[in-house]
Amino acid sequence: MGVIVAPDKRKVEQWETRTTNQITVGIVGSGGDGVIASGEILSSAAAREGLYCILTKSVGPTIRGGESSCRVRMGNNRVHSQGDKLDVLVCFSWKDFLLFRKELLLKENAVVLYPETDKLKPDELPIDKDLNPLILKVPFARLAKEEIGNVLTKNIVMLGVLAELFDLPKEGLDSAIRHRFERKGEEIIDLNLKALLAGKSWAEESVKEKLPVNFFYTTAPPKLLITGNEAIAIGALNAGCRFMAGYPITPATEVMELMAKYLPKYGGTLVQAEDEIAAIAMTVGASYAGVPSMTASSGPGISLMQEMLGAAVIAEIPIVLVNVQRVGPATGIPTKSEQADLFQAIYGSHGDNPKVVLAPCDVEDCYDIAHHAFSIAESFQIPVMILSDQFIGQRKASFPQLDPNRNPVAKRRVPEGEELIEYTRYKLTITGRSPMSYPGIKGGEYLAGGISHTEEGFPSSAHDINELMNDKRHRKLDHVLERYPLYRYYGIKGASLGLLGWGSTKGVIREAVHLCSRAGIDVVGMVPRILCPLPNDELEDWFSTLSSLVVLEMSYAGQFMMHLKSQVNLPDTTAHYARSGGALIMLEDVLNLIIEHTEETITADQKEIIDPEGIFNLNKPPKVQMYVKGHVCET
Amino acid sequence: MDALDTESAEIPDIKPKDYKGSLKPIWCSGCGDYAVLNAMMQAFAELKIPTHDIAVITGIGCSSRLPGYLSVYGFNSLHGRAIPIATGTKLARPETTVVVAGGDGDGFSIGGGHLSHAARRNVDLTYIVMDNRIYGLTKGQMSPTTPLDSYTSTTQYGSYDPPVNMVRFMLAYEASFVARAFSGDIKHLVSIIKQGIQHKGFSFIQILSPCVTYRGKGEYDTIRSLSAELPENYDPTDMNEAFRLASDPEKLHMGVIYRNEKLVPYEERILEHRKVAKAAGVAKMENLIDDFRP
Repeated sequence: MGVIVAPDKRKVEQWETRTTNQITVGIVGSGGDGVIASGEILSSAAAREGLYCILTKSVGPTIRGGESSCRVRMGNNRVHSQGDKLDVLVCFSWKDFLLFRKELLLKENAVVLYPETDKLKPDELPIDKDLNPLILKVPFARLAKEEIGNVLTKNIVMLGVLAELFDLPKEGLDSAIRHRFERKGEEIIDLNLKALLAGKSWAEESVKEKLPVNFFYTTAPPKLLITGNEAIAIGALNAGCRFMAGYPITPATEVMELMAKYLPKYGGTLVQAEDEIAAIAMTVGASYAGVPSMTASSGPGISLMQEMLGAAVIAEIPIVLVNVQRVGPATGIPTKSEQADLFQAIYGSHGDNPKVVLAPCDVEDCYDIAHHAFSIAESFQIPVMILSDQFIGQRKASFPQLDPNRNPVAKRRVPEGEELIEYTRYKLTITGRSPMSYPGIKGGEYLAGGISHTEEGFPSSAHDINELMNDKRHRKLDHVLERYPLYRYYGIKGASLGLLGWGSTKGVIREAVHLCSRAGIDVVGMVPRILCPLPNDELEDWFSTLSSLVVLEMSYAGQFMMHLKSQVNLPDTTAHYARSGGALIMLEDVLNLIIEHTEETITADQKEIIDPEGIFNLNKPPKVQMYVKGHVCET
Repeated sequence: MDALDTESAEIPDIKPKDYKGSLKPIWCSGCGDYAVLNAMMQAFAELKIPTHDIAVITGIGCSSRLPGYLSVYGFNSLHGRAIPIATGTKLARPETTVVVAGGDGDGFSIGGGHLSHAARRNVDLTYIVMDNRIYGLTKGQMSPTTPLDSYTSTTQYGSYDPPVNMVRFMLAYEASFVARAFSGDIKHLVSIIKQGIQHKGFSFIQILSPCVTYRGKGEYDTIRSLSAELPENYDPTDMNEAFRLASDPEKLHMGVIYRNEKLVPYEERILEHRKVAKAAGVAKMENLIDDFRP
């Protein structure tokens, strides 16, 4: 049978096959289609053959059982972002596709595969025909049923088809399937390997035509494959965390799930608390008893924790609090990213309550930031919030190694010797830190409290003591910043155009800076990983080298910009790109921001270098708010 | 979280006053909480627990000031949150004697959501509620145990919220030790607190601790007239009997109303769980990351 159903042969002849060392595959369908499982297997296969990859999963608001989609971007070079557009789309159901269509944009001449049983004809598909896609109807279910005897294997058949058509990591797929079905026994493993083979054979026999995409890669030693949430948990364990209390919430639960697996092995304890208020209270109680402790949640849960967070500040009890941000307020979009919990993180709780906010910028960074968070919390006796987001937390990424010794962890100072004679828990010191005792230490007995207190810990409502103690607690921030100036630059330092963003937007910033630098555009990206206290001096030094700055964030209200404006003097010309979460900032948007705001005139040749495959529309600058010398300037 | 190398608990001569802190209580004269403080110090001394091995964790309220008047580890935390904080402390350092104290509002109103979970987990905490049937710290508003039709500053024509029966509440969630005592009988109080601390698991003690300022000087007599001893041959291991007794509309029975020594404390479950987890294999921490290499 002739499986290529569109476009017509004439057009096929005109195709120039794109040879690429990076491919992006999207898969979409309903519960039961095995969409997420196939994405997991594909990314595992890539990691097994030493490729860099990012797997992002997207589910509908029902979280389980409804429509779902995933995309895998893989290749020999580091993968910084999810990839704006797809080389390959597998669609099990067009009804489900419509729910994700904005997330599943196609490149020109992309390949689209869908079930042969689908009633829609190729020219009826809800995709942009101008992109001239190659559309294949594939008998996924029939092969699974007739050749394997189990229709559930149709997703594995699909992987076999893809592997054959696009030279995806075949050995990796074999071993990924073995690993995935290991627990279910040899029979199930064989069944799935046969399904993979059935897909490959079908593609080999039935698809003879020249394909528009040719993926090539070289194998390398296997890479790690983890999510950001897992990386936080592993980092926390390695940093000495031995107590966690949490309450399930999308998209943060995986932190707790991983801790549930590993904490007991290392003599630690995980409690699933009755609510987030109890979760943070237990965390505070365990840390009061001398054990490095953490909790993790997302926006709504973090809101419930605010009162206790303030108590931890005034009682000077170290805790690490993870917020994997989702779209808010209230339920918002639980399964999507946003960066609008920044104010809650920095200015949350009541009263003046200094705390530290760290923001990991990718999966690997989650591991490092978790170490820094414990170092800061434990050594400064201050709550530290790790402000991650759904995109970092739930995506899987592969990378070569995480060195357990690369982040030395500072410990809590416990009183000893003479300090235990007339022990003074809240002694005023230069750094604001005072040795912290815990139950079991003779002579270290003291009263911890949420009430304003003297150096000895006795309740006091005197103004002067309150002032001294506020000063003690706030002093810590200066010393934290001195020791942990956490930020990263991408591109050429000294470039005249700067891009500034935080957290998960780092991926597109880094990739855009890289692409534009290749075309000779003078641009540099900066991503602070500590947001409170903000590295003000560093930022202002950097600003002085810029002629203009672009700030970008996933917050409709522009919380990051407001924070910046309150902390630093921005460059004379600053553009601000702010928009709601719910969809990630696209690489195309960032490229356009650079092209629009650089002082240079970008030639067609340069655009060709930035985007040789013609993936992006580089004439579509996103709307920004312009600030000239600090004032809003109507554009 | 290895066991602490604490000094030997052998303290031959420890006296109640050794548990006394340097602050002087600022409770009203006649407040029932003085008796609870004294009984607690007496119980600690009789059990010979060193001051550094005790943590008294409270929320907010008149009674929650208590740890400030002791020389042990204390934590005067947030309104209603003493139980989960104490849970964390006990799990992090199981060798510590952890006592939670507070009032009726702190425990059964704002903090009420935590009680059922503390009880079903059976964490080895001793939870002492000083029930004065009023909000004292905020000067006399209705509490969850204020009797119906009481005049308070927030119930100017008489209260219309039926009061909670604490003992029945805790029995319903199978707290493994449920007792009731009275500030007016300090000897009995000491014995009940001691039994509560010695009980392995979650011990709940309701102490009727009158607020003479906002419920009047007659409160001691009222409680005394409602008090009754446990019936002869009363079997505190019988849950049905305990419910029947706690449901008595006329009398407040004093003593250990329910006790279940068979329920395994949470910390022990966790230790068992750790053994199972470790049996499944423990990688060296530096090799943990290899679990994530596909």
